[in-house]
Amino acid sequence: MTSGTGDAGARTAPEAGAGDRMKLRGEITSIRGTVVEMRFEGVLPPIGSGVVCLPEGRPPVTGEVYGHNDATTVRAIAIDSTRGLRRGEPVESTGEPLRVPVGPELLGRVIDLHGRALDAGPPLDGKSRAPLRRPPPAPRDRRASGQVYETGIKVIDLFCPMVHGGRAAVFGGAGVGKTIVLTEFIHNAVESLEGVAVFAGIGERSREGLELWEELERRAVMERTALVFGQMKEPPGARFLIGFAALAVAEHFRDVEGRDVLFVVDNVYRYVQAGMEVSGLLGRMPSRVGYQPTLAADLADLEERITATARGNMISLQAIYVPADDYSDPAITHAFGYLDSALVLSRDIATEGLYPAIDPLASWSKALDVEIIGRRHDEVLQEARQVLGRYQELRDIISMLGMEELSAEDRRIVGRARRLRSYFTQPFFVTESFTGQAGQRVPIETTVGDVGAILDGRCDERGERELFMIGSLADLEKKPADG
Amino acid sequence: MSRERVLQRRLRTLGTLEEAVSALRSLSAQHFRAARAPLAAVRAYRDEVQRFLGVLGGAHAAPVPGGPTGIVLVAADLGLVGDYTTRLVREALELRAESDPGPIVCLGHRAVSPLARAGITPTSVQPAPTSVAGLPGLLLPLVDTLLSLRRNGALGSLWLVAARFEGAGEYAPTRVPVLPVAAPEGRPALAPSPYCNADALRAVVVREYLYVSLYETLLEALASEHGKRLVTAESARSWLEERIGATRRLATAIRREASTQEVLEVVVAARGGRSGTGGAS
Repeated sequence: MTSGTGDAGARTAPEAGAGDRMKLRGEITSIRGTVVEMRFEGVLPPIGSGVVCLPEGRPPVTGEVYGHNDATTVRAIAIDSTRGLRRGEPVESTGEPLRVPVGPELLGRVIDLHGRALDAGPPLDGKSRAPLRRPPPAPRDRRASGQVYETGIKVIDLFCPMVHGGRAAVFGGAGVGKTIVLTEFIHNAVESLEGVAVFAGIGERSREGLELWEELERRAVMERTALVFGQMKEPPGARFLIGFAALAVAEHFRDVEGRDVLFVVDNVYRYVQAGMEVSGLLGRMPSRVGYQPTLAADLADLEERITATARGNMISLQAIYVPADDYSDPAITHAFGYLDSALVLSRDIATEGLYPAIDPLASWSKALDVEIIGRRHDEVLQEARQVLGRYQELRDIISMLGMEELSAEDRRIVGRARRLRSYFTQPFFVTESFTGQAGQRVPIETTVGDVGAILDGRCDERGERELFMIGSLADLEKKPADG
Repeated sequence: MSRERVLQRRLRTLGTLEEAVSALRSLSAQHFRAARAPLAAVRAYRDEVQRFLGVLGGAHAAPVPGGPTGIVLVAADLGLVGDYTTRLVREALELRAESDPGPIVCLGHRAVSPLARAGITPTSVQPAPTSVAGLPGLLLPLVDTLLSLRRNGALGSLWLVAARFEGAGEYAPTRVPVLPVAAPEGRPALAPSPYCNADALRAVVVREYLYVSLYETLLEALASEHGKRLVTAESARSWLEERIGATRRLATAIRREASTQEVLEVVVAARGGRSGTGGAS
């Protein structure tokens, strides 16, 4: 959403050079909701630059320029509440884009779009600030993905593996464990990557952000995590930009400090929704299903910047809400184009108490290529899918007739499928306080070997419950000794 | 007709179909259970009758020398069972090719056409059983027919070709020899009784054996058929559910598109009116 209604007669400030600190001054001419129009004499702040309204006796209100109405008037969307703002009040702009603090001092901190601390910690007045909007890395600077990134979560590593430099999305409704999966990801990534995690909280409930923060604190991974929040209560302009702010923070870690970064977004659909609101505020014609006409460009602005470069690695995990479970929704179809892996959380699996409730048959990954995952992984994966698929087909039959009426072959398949489903449950580090079980990470090779063993019938004599909430099959050997 | 209306109509049709298929699935499940429930008892009874035949001894087990091989083909009259009948007909034709062809009794009209294609006209065609309740009414005259054929020398041996149950949705076409009866050997013969003629008793027991063997085979065939139909109906129901979901999503998208179009028209008209080019303001 960077284009505006340009005017040939308008003179704009020179491109925001580093040393250009010239202040442009103007005044507010109209306010409609969070749309603020302001008049500048002479030079206009360029599209995409920041403007600050300075009401007397009240905190300043920041906005981003979206259009030039004529030779003297610009239209901006406020990223703060405009309540109390009046026409005629002064406005200032340096002609530079909005910036956010970046750097290692953000680790362990929670900030908003302005870089203000939300965690009652000391203010972040570091010198490094990066622009929210910037072009994506040039193709020559990008690192080709292809190497599998091991999450340590069995069902993900087997059925929908992630790749370095890739983007994965978690689809699911409320209460199926989406946040738990995201949090475990952060925990494991921070440990395994020896890197940092940056979390962008876009348009979700503030309570959820607080819970995540507490959990990360409890797990002692907050010291390598930066949280950037623009939650539901924020104006649409802020919610639309918060993803870019978090990205700017992540890019600094990747490009300047050369660290591996896990970039987590919760929730991409809220970003699209905020864009839709901003578009409406600007009076643009809605496009399909009421979305903004710039939907594809908006998503590209965010997603294209999420990539690994020659200087550092970046993996992204994004939660995506699917409106009315409609995967043909334009926002979802556009988002799909950018994904390398999709993890679908299933309410049916969650109600059976099988966590993580990832549906292995609905989830997918572009990394499921024998060249990437290897022949053995591919063989085991295909067989596991067949077994689970057959079990899925037989479930209603079993509920009507019972197991004993199945053929011997089907009974064998069902038994192994059930053992597989039990095996795919896993104690998480971030749920230790609920389950009382120590978290477990399982290497991919172990997962592939274990699943192969179950499919070969080497666990047929074991009860399904024995495989529930274990790490690898090696844990079974310890069980009798423990018992 | 507008696309939306077409989709609504399709949704109604799919919904009705789903109801019908779900009902069929439930019916199949009920028939399946009804066929499976008495099987164990029937098997035990058949074993007992067979054992008693062994005790009776005698010529009941001897084949009619040079007599032709008769076949009772147990097929299906109802659909949604895939290639159930075709496979059974193939099995019957193979058996016929291996032996001296005799009369062929066909249970189920659907088997007539494939048999005719092979140049065979069944001696008798009767409706296939659809439920356990219908079995006795079918079996009593059938057994009499078969025994009279045997008495006339038109039947040296008799085989049943039917589906053997191998689990819900799974079956295998199988051939079961019924006559002559393979009675267990080495049993002591029953002492002659002054109250009952041994031949008459033997005839009654053979008749009973034939009846119970047919009953057992038909029960198993019924379970196979309904099991197969149950699985097919379940697949059809899943497919219909998917189609209903997809059609519903399409209808919703079209409705949303229409709403968007309407909003756009309102906005365009309002803008036109404001700028004085849209007529009324």
